[in-house]
Amino acid sequence: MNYLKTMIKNISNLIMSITQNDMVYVCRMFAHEEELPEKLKKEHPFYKG
Amino acid sequence: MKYIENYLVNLFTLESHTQTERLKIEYGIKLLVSEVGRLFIVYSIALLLGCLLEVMITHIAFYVLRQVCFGFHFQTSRQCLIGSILLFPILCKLTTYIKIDGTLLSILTLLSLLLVVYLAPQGTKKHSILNTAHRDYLKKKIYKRAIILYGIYLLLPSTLLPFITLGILLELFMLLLEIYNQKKETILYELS
Repeated sequence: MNYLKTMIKNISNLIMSITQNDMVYVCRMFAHEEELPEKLKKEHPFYKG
Repeated sequence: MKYIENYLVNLFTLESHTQTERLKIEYGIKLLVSEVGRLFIVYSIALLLGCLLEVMITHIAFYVLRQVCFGFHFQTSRQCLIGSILLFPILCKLTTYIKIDGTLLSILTLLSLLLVVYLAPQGTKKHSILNTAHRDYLKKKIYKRAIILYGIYLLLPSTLLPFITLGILLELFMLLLEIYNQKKETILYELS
């Protein structure tokens, strides 16, 4: 059970790091109609204003 | 698809996650689910056409540049799927029939890579380049990736080289298409 929880946590972190990485490049890899949510835009390292 | 997305979001969202982290997971899963489906279709067609390795090489060369160079993007996932099928498995299959001189291919690769480096990055309306710092960051990445890609090109066996060139040419095409779209919009805006 503990192993399963750790695995879910690790996958969760991996998904977050994929989003983080994608955000740095402003979603060029994947997004089409999906626009980055406003709140996440503010997390972008180059976002200003 | 929506059901799978919701299931995965619930599975990977933990109580300890903040709201921003929840948004990141939701967004990440949405992208992954749509991309996995597309990759499955594109690679199934590649497998049927017998050009799996060729498509993989073209894809890698294209995405290494694509991630930092940006360029034209299809408006919807469906358009992107059709575009991906035409530009990857079908074009790769057609490329296998073309015989091109090694020296000429090296020159073509170098020239197209130089053009990509010169023209990129090209943001789109929906996903623009945010500011000068962002542009500089991408430009540095583009230089590094272009050098690495050409290094790999020089090391690969000659049978696979046309597919690296194809990946670079596809990215160049995306950049030119985006520049053309932007110019067209500027002209239309000035006329109105």
